[in-house]
Amino acid sequence: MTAVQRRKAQRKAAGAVVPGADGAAWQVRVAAAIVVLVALWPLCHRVLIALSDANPWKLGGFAMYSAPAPPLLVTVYGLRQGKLEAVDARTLPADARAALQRFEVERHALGRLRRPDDVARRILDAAPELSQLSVVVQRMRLHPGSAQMQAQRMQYSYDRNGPREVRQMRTSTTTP
Amino acid sequence: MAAPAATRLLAIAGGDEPALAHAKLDALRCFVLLYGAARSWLWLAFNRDLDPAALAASAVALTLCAGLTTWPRAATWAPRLALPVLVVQLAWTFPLTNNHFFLELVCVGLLALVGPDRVGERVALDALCWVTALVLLHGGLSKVLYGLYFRGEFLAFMVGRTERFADVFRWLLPVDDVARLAGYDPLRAGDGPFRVASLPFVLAANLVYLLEITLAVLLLPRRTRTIAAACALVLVLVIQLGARELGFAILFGNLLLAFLPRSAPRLLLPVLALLFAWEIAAAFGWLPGRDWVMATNP
Repeated sequence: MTAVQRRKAQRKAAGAVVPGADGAAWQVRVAAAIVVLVALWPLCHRVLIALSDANPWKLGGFAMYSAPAPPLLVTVYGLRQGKLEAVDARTLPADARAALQRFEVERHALGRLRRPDDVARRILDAAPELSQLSVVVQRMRLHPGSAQMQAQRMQYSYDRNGPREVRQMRTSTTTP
Repeated sequence: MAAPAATRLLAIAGGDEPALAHAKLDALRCFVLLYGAARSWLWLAFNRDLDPAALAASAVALTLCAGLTTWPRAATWAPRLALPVLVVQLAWTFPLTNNHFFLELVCVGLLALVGPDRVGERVALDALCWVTALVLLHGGLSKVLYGLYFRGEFLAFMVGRTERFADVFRWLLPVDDVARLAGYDPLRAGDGPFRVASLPFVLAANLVYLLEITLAVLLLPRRTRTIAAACALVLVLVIQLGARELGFAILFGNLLLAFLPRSAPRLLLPVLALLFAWEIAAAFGWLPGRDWVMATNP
């Protein structure tokens, strides 16, 4: 048997129809893998949501209508001549404004998996008068124990002269 | 896992005779691809964030794939051609992709397993049945895991926030409670409690996940499959009174039909095709009902 014939025979054996199964072995394995994925991913999804504050309605976990996902409140603060003030998104250049809008949407879906580093970089580039920048993300959740709204805030701080990354991360929770 | 063992496990949810599996899979193939094409046109009509030209091209491609399912000799190629288009659509919409799309993608992925010689039809149908039961199970399980149904908290929140939920549950709640829930601001910390004293309301909230989990389990044994599928169909329709997500209801309803002892009625596909055609025409403003179609296809 030549090498080509041997390979053909191996391929044929790999894709052989399983007796009584009306399906080749590879088809059965792929179908089973997809079913296992659908069985396990929603459980992993629950863990991911708990760890990242992502939106339960997204990422294919089939957890829609399980918990509310109110809109996020994203506020940008800048240090201008020693004074901390809120940055009005309307005053930003179009690309920085678009990046901020995209961040809000993606952060709502991905939670802490989506960091605002690119937004901060664009805003610092667009506003040279700002020496420091903070992006504060407030997420509301319905607390199962009290059935009241709870705010979770996370602050990402950036220094123009320092490395453009998170210097301080703080989560403050307002417990009802 | 050895293939024969996997085959036996897959057959737990299905296990139909080859001829019946063939008929069911043919109907599902037509439906799922028709659904994908209609959904793409609706995205084109309503979605402002995606590139319209690329979206239109994908909608045309999926429409052609749906058309291909009516040609018996080429039908098995349709999901194989549609799958890459769906993957591209996933890349466009991620991470905002909704769960309906993931379900559609999984279905097309399984349908794409069937070869031109139709080998693998039973395996694909069995896996589709498993996926349907698992999605129903996880729908219920997630409600338990998030802990917002035991005293009706999530539904109380939705009653306060959305008119459609308020309409459905108004008859289970005192007027004062509906007004109180509507008065809370979900963006203000400390607002609540999103709880009500109405026992029927709390029972209804608990019934939702209990039924989802129970029916998902009962879809598996052959003895209980038909009644469980019929009850699940009713449950999906009842949930849509509040959720009003027509697209998902139609997709999931058709998947549930695969559990019935007979293939779906022949008339169903033309009726659904007409419904999709009207939805698309309405979405583009050519027929009345644009707002309704937009509201029921979030």
